[in-house]
Amino acid sequence: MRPGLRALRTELTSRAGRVVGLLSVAVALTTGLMRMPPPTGPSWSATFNEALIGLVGLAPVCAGAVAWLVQDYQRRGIAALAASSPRGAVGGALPRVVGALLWALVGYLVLLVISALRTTHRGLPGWPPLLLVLLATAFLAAGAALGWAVGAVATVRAAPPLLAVALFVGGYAGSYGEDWFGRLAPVDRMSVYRSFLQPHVRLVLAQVVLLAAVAALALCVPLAGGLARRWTGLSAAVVLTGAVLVLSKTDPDPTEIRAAPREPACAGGPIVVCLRPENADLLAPSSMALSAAAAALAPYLPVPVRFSEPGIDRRVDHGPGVYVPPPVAGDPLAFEAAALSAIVPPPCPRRIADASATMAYGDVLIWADATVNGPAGMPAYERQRFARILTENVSGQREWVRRHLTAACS
Amino acid sequence: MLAASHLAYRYGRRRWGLLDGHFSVGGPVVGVLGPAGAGKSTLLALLTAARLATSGTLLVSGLDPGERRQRRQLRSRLGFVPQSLSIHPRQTVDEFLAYVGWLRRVPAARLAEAIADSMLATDLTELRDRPVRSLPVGARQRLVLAQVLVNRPSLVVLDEPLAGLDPEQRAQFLARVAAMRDDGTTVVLATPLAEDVAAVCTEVIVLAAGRTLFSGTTGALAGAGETPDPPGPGEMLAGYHRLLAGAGAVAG
Repeated sequence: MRPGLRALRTELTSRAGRVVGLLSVAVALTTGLMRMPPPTGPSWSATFNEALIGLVGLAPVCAGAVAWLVQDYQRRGIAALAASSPRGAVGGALPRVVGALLWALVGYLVLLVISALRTTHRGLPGWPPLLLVLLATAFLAAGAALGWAVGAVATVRAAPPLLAVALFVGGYAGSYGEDWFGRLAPVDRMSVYRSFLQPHVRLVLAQVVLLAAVAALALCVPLAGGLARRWTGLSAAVVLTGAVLVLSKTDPDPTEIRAAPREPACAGGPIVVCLRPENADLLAPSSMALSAAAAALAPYLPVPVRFSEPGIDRRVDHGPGVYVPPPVAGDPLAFEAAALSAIVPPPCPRRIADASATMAYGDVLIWADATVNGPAGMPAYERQRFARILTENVSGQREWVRRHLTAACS
Repeated sequence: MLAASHLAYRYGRRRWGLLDGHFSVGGPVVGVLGPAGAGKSTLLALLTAARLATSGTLLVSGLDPGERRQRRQLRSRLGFVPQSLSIHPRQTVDEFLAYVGWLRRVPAARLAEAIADSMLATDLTELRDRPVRSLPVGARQRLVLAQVLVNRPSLVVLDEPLAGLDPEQRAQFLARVAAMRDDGTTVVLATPLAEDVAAVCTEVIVLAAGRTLFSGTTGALAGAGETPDPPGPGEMLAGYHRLLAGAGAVAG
């Protein structure tokens, strides 16, 4: 075995290494099993995002462990020994740091396996969801680099646990963050990856660059001397560039619509419904709900004849014919609601926050539901308000719908 | 072998570890003598190329540690015992020596043989698979010396290796230093005790408060210029104390 690999194996199997490994796997198992899988339908992005969220607990463990191991390396005089060797003090610490990082990656693998076992997605993931794996690796590497920096300068024994707590608090708060703060945090609990969504590629790449720059900046601390100063300047420039990229050039939405699949799963008939291949089992109930709703509403408003998931025909998630498959298969009410939203979408590209406009669109949806399913399902307090319009003739109801949709976009 | 001119090292922005160092000493065993805080470890860090001088020139075995290629060459020829080296108690003798071999870039094909040789030279062969915590104090001290020998160095630098040893262990350690000297290895030994220098060193650099007070033969230090040959330990100690008193420093 090569001497470097032997040194790494020694670190991995040492008592300190085994403690770090045990802790990493325990934290990964706990956080992975504690989280409920999100009801998003089949989505690799949701799976990888779940594993990424688990790093809020794992990355601080990795950073704290590295800081502790580097402190021990210095305290025992091994750093001074290595500093006089051709590998230098930084090279001599590599087996410890890499060992801790590898254990953290094993913990991440556990998180990935737990999330993957829970997903209903079949088939291989595309490359955009895999960017979340790259982001997770960069997050762990940045945590290890921060730990190395803290371990190299702080002699206080409380420094490693304090670093871990600080990272946990920062990561936890960042995962709920919005706007600028949220975009800077690599972990995002707020996004729901429905099956037609994927991570925002440019945002994730910018976050990876940012984390790489943070890692480089942190590594300047153990790398003493003129070279380190140059690294600091270069890293600061990269951090700034990355931050500018993230904050100014990127869409604030951390998700984007996936590209069209090569062969969508489609169902023909009076109307055509096309879904992504992994949603093929939702075709029959979708087609049924859409056909029934389209037939009932056709006399009153223009009804599309082709429905498809966002990204298959158009890269938008709104508009007539854009059909979002319900996350929970087998729930007929969810299929009906999705069908109504595809047939009667909000008439404006984005729903206006104005209360009267929102109410006008809500009225149209209640009317559409009553028209498709009958007034029996309506809430009692709404029945009286809609009784008059539902008994009007077709042209009267058509005019009512037109007026309300116009008001909904005012 | 060791030559310096205007050698200085500064920690951070203000604190000087070494100031205007001037010396030129040869082997085979050079003592670096001075009380605590004199700058011995700083000088050894410069000699081993662990730190680079802030200003001045330094040549170690004809190599300039400030120059990258020569620094790499110097580091590959070195053996070093840092002050208070504490090997991890659960690491075995073999694992630790393999790690040091990796640090010193001993070729993989030669590593096993180099480890076996260094264990043989320090009577550790029987203990190779024992964890450090189970070794007697003497064996641990031999392990500290064994790690120095892994890369068969031409220059060995020892930073206060005798601290905490009882008289018998000190004598054994110094005997092994003398054996290294006899094998043709140049040794630099930092110590606060003039007796250690008198026991094995032929030349000495005396430091106090970061300044070089003296460099030359132990005989010259003993006679404070009169150079009796050979000097007795008491005479050398007296010379050392006279130097420190002149510089206003206190011996350790």
